Amino acid sequence: MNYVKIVCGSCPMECEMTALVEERKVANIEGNGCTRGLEYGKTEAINPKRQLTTTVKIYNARYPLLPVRTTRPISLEYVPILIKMIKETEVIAPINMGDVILENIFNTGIDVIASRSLAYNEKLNY
Amino acid sequence: MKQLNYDVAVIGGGPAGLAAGLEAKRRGMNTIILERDSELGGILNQCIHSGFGLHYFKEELTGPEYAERFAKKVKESDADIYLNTMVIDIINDKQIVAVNREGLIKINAGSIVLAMGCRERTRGAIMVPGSRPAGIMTAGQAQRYLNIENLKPGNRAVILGSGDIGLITARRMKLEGIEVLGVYELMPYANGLSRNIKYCLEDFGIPLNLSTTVTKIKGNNRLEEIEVSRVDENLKVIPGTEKTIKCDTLILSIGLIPENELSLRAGVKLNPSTNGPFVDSNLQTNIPGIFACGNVLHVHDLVDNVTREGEIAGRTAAEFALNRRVEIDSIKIRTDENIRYTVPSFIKYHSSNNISINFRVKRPIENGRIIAVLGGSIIYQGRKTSFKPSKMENLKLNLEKINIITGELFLNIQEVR
Repeated sequence: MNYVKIVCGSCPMECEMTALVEERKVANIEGNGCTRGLEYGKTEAINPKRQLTTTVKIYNARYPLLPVRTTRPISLEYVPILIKMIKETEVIAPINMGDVILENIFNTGIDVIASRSLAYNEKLNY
Repeated sequence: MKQLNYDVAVIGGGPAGLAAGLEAKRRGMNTIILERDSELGGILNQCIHSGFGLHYFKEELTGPEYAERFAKKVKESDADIYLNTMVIDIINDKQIVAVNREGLIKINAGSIVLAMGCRERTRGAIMVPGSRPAGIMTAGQAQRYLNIENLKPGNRAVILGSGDIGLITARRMKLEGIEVLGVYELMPYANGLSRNIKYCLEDFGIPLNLSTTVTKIKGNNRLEEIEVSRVDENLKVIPGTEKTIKCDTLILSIGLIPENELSLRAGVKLNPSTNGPFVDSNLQTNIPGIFACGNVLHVHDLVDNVTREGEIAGRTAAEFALNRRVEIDSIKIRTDENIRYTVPSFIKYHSSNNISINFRVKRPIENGRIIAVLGGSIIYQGRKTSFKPSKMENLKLNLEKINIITGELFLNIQEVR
């Protein structure tokens, strides 16, 4: 049983919370300023999750890279493996914002999607 | 040479210019947006991290997503967009001189919206002594290399400055396999959001060293090592605290400067506390018909606020183009030494209007409240909260119930110990 101090990341208010963790479960949270903060504290204390934003190699586009992101925050422990997977992925233009690049990673129901559109452009092919 | 006429001319196609252009177009104005880059979106295109649009769209978007939503609306709106076009002068009465591959363009504008954004402070601004090797760049430059050009800035990096841009670049470099040795910060407190300290530094084991700065740079063609030293409470280097760090990349995240060369050429008066134009509640500068919004006016933290500001400027620029005038606010806002600046600097009183004032404090205040005084009486007292220089605050005043509405508005932060 231990106390975990958490600074909430849901909004710029940055409320300071304390979570009481018992046997990998959150028994109590204090200091949250809203219900979103409460939910944030509950996950952050035992299974911290993060949005991953990075880039993927793209061919036949005006830039050599396509920015991508996870549709929802994923467990911090998955991040290193996900980075490796994304590094091995390559896509070809045209791509539309929101296109799924990697689907349902690690069976979480979370996708990696394109953060922008990039049109087909053979002249500037990197 | 091309000669064009528009009701509203917007200089800059980033989030501020896009919002202003859209708003002017919505009000039926012939609108042109002039952008020097090859696409709209401004700095958002390289900000691939999330945290944009939480207030405006109630979603957490990445920079490119936020930009694309507005760029799409602008393209559909029928406003004229000139890309790869650089505005080089504003002359006579609101005449814009611009240049692109096709040659020179002169635009007669009914009103102008300045939305040129800001640039980063470089090594010269803090005068770090030593040699001048390659490998020293601003965080924004590193961000551009990593996220757009697919170029690796270096192998072993040190970051100077704990603002959000530096923190986010630290994380980005670590994810791309670059060794990030640490973040060094001159002040005794971190500049960026606590959430970024956690997500960018703690999550990745990158140390944060406060009250420390870079005091020497060594390297021939490429950076080889830097010297860092601790500073005292007066920010003076403490002799004997020097440490050498071997690295090949120094990332500078030491501040942003609104880019107002054009504004100065037009005769716009700048506020030394913001390095942006003095404006009133209509976002009108001292030159009638020239308005400013976004980072060129004052450096923002949230793009959602930039969009809101751009919408105001677009609305008032449209009004000016239509009526040839917008009423000028004449009541100056005064502040105590805790407040670094307010935007706007001038307001007017109408019993029916709400006054919205943005401000930043000069130093962190753990516990304090904002107080507004008018005609000798306190008309507003905020609740007790903490203030940070890195967090822009907003104050909304409703004057409906106030009897005396003349004289200067005085804002101060009352510290509660």
